[in-house]
Amino acid sequence: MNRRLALAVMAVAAAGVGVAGEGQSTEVPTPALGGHEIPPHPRQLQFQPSSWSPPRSADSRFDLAGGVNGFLVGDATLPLVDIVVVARAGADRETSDQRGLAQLTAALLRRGGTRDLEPAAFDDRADELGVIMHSQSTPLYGAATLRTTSEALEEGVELLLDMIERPRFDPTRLASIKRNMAEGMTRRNLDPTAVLDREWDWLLYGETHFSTQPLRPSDLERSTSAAVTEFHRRHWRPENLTFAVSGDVDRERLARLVNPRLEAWASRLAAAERFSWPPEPPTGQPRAGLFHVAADIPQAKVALGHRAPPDLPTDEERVRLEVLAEILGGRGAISRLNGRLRSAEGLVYGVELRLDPGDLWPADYRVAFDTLGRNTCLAMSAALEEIERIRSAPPHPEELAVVKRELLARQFQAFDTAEEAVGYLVQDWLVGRSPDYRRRYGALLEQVTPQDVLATARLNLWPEDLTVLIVGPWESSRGNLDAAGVSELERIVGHRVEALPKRDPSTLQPSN
Amino acid sequence: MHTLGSHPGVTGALLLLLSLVGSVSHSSPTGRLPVEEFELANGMRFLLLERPAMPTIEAGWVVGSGAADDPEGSTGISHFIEHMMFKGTRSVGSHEIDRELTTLDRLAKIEEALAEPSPSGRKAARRRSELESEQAELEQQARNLSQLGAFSLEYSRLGATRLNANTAEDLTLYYVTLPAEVVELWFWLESDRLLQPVFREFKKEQQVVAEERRRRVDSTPTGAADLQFDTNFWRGTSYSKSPLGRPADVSQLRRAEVADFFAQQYRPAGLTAVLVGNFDPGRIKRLAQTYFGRLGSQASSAASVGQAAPTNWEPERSRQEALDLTCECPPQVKIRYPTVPFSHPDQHALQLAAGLLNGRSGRLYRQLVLGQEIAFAAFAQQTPLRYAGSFTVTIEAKGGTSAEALLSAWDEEVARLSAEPPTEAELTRVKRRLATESLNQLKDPHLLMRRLLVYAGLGDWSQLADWTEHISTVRPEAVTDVAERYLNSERRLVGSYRRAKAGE
Repeated sequence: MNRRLALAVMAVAAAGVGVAGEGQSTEVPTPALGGHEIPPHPRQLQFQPSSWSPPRSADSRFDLAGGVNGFLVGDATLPLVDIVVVARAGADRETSDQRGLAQLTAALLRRGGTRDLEPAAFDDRADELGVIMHSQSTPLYGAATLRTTSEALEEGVELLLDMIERPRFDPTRLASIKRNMAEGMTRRNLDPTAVLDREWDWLLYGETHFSTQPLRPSDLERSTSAAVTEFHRRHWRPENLTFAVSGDVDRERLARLVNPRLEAWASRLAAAERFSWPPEPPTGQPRAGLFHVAADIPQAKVALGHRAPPDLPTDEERVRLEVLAEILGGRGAISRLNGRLRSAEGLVYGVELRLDPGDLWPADYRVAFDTLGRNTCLAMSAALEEIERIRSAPPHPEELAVVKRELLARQFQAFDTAEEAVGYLVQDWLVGRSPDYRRRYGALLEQVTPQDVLATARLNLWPEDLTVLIVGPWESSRGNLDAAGVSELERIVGHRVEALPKRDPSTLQPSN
Repeated sequence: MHTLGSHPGVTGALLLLLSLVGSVSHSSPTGRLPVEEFELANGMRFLLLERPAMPTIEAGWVVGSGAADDPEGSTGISHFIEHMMFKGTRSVGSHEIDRELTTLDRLAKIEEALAEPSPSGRKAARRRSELESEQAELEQQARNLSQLGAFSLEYSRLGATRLNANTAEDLTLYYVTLPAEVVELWFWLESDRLLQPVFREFKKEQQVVAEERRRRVDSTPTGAADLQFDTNFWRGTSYSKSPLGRPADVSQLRRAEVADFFAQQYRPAGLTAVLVGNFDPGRIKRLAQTYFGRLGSQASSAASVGQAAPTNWEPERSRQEALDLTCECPPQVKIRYPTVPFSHPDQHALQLAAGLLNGRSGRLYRQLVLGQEIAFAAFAQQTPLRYAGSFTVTIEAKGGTSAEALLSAWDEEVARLSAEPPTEAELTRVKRRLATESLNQLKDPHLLMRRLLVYAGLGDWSQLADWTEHISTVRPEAVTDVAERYLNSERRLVGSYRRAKAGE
């Protein structure tokens, strides 16, 4: 399930090398050279504190015509402009007989042509202008994007507005896309990581919520051109749109380009229907236990965790949780899980930890790693010990200080480009986070104490309620059996294993 | 034998003589990439690109040595060194450095002794057993003396993020993102790990690398098949070696040979550093001189490994070859042709040819995906390496389309590409799309820093700045010409990927 807002504006972060460590280093003198003293140890370097702070959300926010929300972070470094139009037109707007329409509508926006241009002519026009356009969807939103040079901005914006306001939804393209999507469904069991993610979501959230329901062949059959057109008419409306704009453009120029079109569009529409926000949360009860999906690979892909507590956190609690996550399994030097499982034990290439409390409903906390089948018991024990350790004692003040610095620096990094900056601001706004959250972040971080981290760990990490899922070879992963036939892994986890059924890749119904 | 942790290429004698050599500003013709370049007397180069609005600095360096330089029998050594470079230095990472180095030195000697062919007989077996016991004891002792993760910790405690490295065929990159005010920390730590690295936790890291291979190759849908395809394509050349190395080779690496290889490859003349972000160039130059100027220059005039072109870079193939590959993936064909290296003038026409084939308006999508509906997806790519290059087309089958049918459809596209130049209008559309994509690649400062490292490592960073200019000058006939010359079926390798049958 993609609970994160998959805004195309978010940059891809490279994975860090996570290793644990602590303590002071031995100081070995190094010669001073070239008129500049080289201290014998990096801790003797002196630095000025940074005076940088994130941009104010209110400075970027403005209203466009037709009730459209706008965010703009300007940057003239390159003659390039990015526009992401986010629409509240996700799968939550589908009724039970409309499943897949949000996804198909978003997919067809870019590929299905416009009122004035056949699909192929639209593609050619985009290339003539040198603009790059996409459309896509997540469970909660649809999105259409334009990347253009400043020079082609005017024509590019026209094309973007044509695409979102007057899509053609060409039936031939729709049929082609549906056939490709059906083909894609037949491939859903091939990647063991995708299988792990799918089964994980179903174990924790159930299979019936719009955010975890997969597309099935029968959904495609029902999705006609008329149905897509109707879904677009109801949900891709100006008042449902947010423009996230970054790059070489200012607010006035943007308003001149889009407002007349948005105003005219809004004036032609009937009154909007009312939809509840936020949508209903998943109602499936998480299943604790040990679960296994067979896969013919040398490694066991392991995930362990549980749903987040029922109450969404305050900003203060959210920051404490981030600190906890960074200490337990973050991307920097202080990652106890990576320090233990990778650096000290050599059992894994990396451990991924996600402590996501959720934005609209409780999400989940998950530790995931891949390890050679026969090392699964060792790695599982080590991971559980580290979880227990962080619940047993507060972190060392030095450990906490390093993590705070890392987290604060990641805020800096998040605002390296205008595109990333506007992405964060829009994301905060869409989920209703306080507008000054990014600016208060440093102060909130500073307040976190070792005792806060301990309390947060005890409140949030529940080793007794774990869901443990393994995709891979069971025989080599389970460890030795005792006289009663109970495996070592089952003893470590405290549950007998339940083999999850093989599923037909297209229907995802059990096939055995 | 070298003492682990020392850098044999470093001496103090030349240090005071170092000075900056030349400081030239190169701007791209479009003025979009105002990179300032300078070189230290020891041959190490620096590329600076200011982005004053950023709160951070992206910093990295590249060594022009990668998997292609791995000696036979020691494949994976470049990648293993990349991992070892995070294990600290003499100054960072030890509780008691002299004792630790003595321990590591003894461990290296034991490894050498154990690597010798073992004579038969009870006495020899006893001696071997004693050595192995001592080895286990010393490894524990070394571990107790070391501070795990200290190097990364020095970065983290001052807010540096994205500390990482990559090993490729021709080069190895090391990079990090720093708060702008702590840039001197990068100079301190990076020059220190080049000067006096200590390769700690050697055995454990061999296990980590084995897990990395299992994760990247053995547990992914196409990992093993892709590796087999790559190895076959580059058979007989230095590019046939995967950066991950052969598992048996990696598990048998010894400390002494790793230290030797490091000393041989990581020389200042083969290094280029890149900084992108918010800094004062004058200060950066002073810091570069002070810190990296310490690296010994005696090797700089010699041809660094990885810079002298050996002769065996062209795949030995005089007729089409085909491979049947099994995978946990949809049926697909991969077709690869030998082409030209990074610096070759035909490189841009080949990239434009790939541009004509790709994208929603590209010929592959329109003909194979939309028109004939025989492909689920199709993609073409020209991949330049330092001494060779390749053009690869991957076509995923739709429905029950056979590999032969996909290959036949591809051959028709090649025939079309070779027989008739694209129209000016079609070519212009592709050039404009590629120009916007290229411009966009200069936006993200982290990715820009890494791209500059890669281009510099391959031999010419300015190719990145001037790429759009080069592409804009390619004529339609040049596309036809490269298609005819390089997309030659007699020299290609065709891989047919299919799912393994039960029990296979």
